[in-house]
Amino acid sequence: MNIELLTIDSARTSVLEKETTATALVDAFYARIATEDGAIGAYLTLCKERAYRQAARIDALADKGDALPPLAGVPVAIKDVFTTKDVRTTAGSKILENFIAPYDATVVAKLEEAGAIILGKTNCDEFAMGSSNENSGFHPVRNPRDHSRVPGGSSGGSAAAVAAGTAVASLGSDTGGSIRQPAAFCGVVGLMPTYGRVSRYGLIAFASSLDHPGPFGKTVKDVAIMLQAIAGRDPLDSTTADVPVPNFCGHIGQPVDGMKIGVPLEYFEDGLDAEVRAAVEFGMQELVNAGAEVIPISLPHTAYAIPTYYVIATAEASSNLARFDGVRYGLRSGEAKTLSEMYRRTRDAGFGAEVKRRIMLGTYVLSAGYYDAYYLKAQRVRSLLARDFDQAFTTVDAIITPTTPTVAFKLGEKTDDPLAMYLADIYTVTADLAGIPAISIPCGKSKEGLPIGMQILGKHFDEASILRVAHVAEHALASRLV
Amino acid sequence: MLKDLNSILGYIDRLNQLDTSDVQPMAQVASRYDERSDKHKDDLNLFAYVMRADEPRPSLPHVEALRNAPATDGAFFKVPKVIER
Repeated sequence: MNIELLTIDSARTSVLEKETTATALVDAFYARIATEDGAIGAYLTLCKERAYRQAARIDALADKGDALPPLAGVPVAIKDVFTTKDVRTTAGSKILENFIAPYDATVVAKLEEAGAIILGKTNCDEFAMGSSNENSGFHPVRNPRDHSRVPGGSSGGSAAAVAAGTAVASLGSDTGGSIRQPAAFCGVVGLMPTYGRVSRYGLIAFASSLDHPGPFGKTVKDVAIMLQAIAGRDPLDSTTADVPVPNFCGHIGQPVDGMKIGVPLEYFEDGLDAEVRAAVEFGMQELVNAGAEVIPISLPHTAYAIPTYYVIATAEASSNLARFDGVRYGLRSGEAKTLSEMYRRTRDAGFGAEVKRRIMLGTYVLSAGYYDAYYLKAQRVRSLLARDFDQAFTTVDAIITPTTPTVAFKLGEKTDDPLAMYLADIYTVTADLAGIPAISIPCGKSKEGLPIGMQILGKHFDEASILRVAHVAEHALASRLV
Repeated sequence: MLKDLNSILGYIDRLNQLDTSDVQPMAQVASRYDERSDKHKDDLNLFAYVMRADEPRPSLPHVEALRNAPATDGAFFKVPKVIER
């Protein structure tokens, strides 16, 4: 069995039909991680005891001939920003290097209830702040398609694990593009669900009004199965919406003819790499061939998305990260005579440069005298950005754009210029600000063989439509991706 | 660090190109659902969805809550002196 090719269905079926056992699958994945992950660095922590316990449970079910849950025996990886009971949870930060979480995030508990086996925790930019995974407090992740390049970020480890076949599927979080951008760079599928569709309970907060948990998979169907398992109202997260969860897989395989798909002109202007543009345009043409109607639209405030994001996200981060004070959990650094000296030493030793930069920026934009000029202003522009989408969705069912302006860049290429790094998220941040769902699927390769991603955005709570469009495009483009 | 922060703030200044005098601030995604459905605009209703019954629930056991602390006396978190003479 080539385990690196397994999808959720093929992994589950192999356990169901007794071709293998869940325990043997876990053995095989840990063996593959041992040989492959040294060069990539996708994992920070393996939770073997927990994985084998879950595998034994699934094997017992299979032996009894009981019905198997939808993710039975499927080995998955979890971005290390989700808490996992009795397993180290670091958020990619030295400040949480030895933190053992006392409870499971809702999404982690739901995946295990659905039969998934959690292999380990994946590397990420510290507190999910970054677009290249180079801000990890531990080590960078390398792109499995080209080890000299970044996997994207912040969920770089989760994307790289799926691309390297060291997990069948994985969970990430998306605050400004942190699922879709690494999915594009690594050539896998990444889905950011609607804000409120998936619980954030147990997700270590970066920017609470922007953080979206979501899945990575090899195929559109795999992310649909993962979404089905994690979606829904959670009493422990008051921002989860009490709306029905449709059968997402039921929309996989539905045709797109008659669907109206918008193409925003602002996403195809200067700064877009010619090869990325050509691949995305080819993908759009395939959807036209499949019967969809492509309509030019305008999202006029797009150029203001990145500055809006960096005010709101840093403001929320400066508030959220105040909890890391060396008192209740995490690092406490050095001998301090006073409480404030203890805070200062702890944060100085525990946080990396980008996290410090964002806490300072966020504190500044919230400070007396600057609050109206920066924070309130950005919140007003956020309304305009959300209205752009509302307006567009009165005439179209979905929107197509490139996921990123370029293919994966080299390690070190943007580390000296934070602003250049921020612009890597130029096509993804707006969906986070508006809270709409978006998916990135592979749509081609550059001349150098690097993956190119196409983004499909939808209306609030209409993941079904973007999955439908993504699945049709995935099949039409399959021959370009081998 | 200072140079980076100034360059980022300079970039953020482009928000002032927009006239937002009659635009409501958006603090939460959920507030948008209400704006579009023309529900009541008062604050309580915008955030009505977050209300739940005020019922006690089990919380983290004391010993678990202390387990990750850098310093405790077994009952409380220990910190350096807060009030100085």
